[in-house]
Amino acid sequence: MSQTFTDPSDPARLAKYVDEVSPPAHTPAEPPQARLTLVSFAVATELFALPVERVREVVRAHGISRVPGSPDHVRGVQSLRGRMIAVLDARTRLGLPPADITPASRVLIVEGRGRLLGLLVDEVRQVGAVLQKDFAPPPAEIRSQLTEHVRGMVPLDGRLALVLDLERLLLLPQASQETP
Amino acid sequence: METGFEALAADFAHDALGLVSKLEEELLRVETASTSPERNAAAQAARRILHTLKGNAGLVGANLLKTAIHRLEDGATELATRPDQVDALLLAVDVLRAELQSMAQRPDPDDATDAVRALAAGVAVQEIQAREPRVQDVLTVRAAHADDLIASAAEVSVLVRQLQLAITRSGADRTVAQLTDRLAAASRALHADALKIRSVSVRQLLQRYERMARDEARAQSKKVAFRVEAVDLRADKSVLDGLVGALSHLVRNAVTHGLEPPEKRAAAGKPETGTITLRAEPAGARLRFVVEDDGAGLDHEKVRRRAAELGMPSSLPVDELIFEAGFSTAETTEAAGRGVGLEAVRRDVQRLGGRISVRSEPGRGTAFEMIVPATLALERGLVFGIGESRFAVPIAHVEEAVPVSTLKARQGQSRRLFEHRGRLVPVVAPPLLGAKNGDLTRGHAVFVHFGRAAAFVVDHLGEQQELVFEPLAPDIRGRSLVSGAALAPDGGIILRLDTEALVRAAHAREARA
Repeated sequence: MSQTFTDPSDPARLAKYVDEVSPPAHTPAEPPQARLTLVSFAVATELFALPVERVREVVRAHGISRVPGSPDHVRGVQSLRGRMIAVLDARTRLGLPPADITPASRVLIVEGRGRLLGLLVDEVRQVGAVLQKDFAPPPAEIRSQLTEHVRGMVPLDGRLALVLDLERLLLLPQASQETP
Repeated sequence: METGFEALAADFAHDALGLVSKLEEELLRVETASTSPERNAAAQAARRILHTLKGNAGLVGANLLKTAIHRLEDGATELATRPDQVDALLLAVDVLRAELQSMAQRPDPDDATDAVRALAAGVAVQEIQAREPRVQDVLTVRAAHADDLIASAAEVSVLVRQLQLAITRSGADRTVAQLTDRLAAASRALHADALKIRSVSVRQLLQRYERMARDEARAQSKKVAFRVEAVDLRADKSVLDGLVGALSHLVRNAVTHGLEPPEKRAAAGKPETGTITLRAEPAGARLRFVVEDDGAGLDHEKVRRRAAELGMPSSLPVDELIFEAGFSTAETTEAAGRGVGLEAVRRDVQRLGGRISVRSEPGRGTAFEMIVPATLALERGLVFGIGESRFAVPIAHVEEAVPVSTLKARQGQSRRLFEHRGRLVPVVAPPLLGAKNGDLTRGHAVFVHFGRAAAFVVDHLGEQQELVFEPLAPDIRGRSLVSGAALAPDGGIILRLDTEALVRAAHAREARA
């Protein structure tokens, strides 16, 4: 059902891949099963996923400039073909320990509330289709700061992927503009 | 004027234009319907659209438009049976279109075209000439789309500059170099043209103040003639938005504090009617705005007395004292002199990266001059490095940059201070700018001024650059002193420091020095 996604930084490949993975629309042999295509990615030891249509593109985590004094969940600012994109750190946003950027690190470009934002993750794993019926609510035992941002979980590539609630995740706590 | 509200008005205009087209369709359906149920349905749909439009206009504060549509509703009670009502509404469609298209061009939603004013006042739509030209030479463009275009155009010109550099270095052949030079010129033109989309008429804005000056003068039993002197000048909407408040303040000030009462003017041998002139003209790549009155001029003695009461340094000249915090001479009136005074005006102008000054002659009048950039998209900044980050601060706010080794530092109670030109200037705590060590003995000190003076220490002093900054959203910025980011010609990122926040941080009591 799924296969390793070789070059996650190439949006054209990503789109093509989605085409390959998605079932052909004109052969409904069996009763239609609602399918969802997900991009999965690693953050710390967890596997997360987002619906593929919520991820505009995937770029390398390169040249992120830190913004001194900005909130913890902000990793910095990165240029996306000249546009300044604020990059959130998925680790700190999800209450996981922060880490350095590695060659595998990627930034998911997502759209939320009318603006583009980047989401720094440790590694992009794959694009894969899952069945809606395989969705389960988040388990009670995972940590609460995670549950807050998780919509549900679904088996993907032999593991359970936590599907993120992007709206929640991008709804950042407002800090006062006053400087100390 | 609040930008969020403006965006709301722009959205309204955009959506409403769609509704007006639907209204036109429904009206035409009323005319062409072959059965009466179909005719009734179309008439009902048309009335529903009018009602929606009215409600939405009210929501964004376009009250004149709301009243006008209310009048139209009154005249559309029997659309299905009276062709004359359909004719009238079709004429009204043109008026509404013209109104909505011009709405995007003006800062105040509660202003309106003459046709809408007339409609609101109860003039029948048949008696109003729909405004020429009928073929639209005005397009409605969403502000966000214009911003995207401007950002893309700016990016192209930055990339072309990089390309030029790379080609010069690689020693490519002449044809390639020449083509690149032409590409560079074309991309600069593209950026300049893109900026024009967001430009609005300066004259239209200034004209709006006539009414304000009149009302204000009437309330104070003064006589005023209002003049606008502006060539056909357009400026970036974001600049004008930032000046609306400052201009209001200065015009009210001119009436209240500038112009004398008629009897005093007569006694001084001047015409009873005072003149207030609003002037706008290009000043190089910047714009000059002047608010001038032929009143009594600044009362130096009164200013000095007030300054002494407030314990301000007597060394400051009068034309600087009046911009200081908490300064206000005349008795408080309804509009002018709410205790904020010219300090707020100067802050608005500085926020735009501009400067304000005043000229005054006793008995002859006062003139306030503001010089602001014509566009906010391109900003001239002084670039410098701290640690691994690169920053810029608007050049308009920079006093000077000197090696730290030439300065004498003092330790205050909670912060460092530099002795500079006979004053003590507080230093921004280095961690606020991301510096790991708080070393204040090396590098350069940059002195800035935004209401008050402040200094900060940088590792490497760079050069001045024209940069296109994109603002950081409040939830991204948090308590940071960084307000925006720009793409550097070498592909890196330059963070823009907010001088106002910087100065506040330097002066804050609990500065982490």
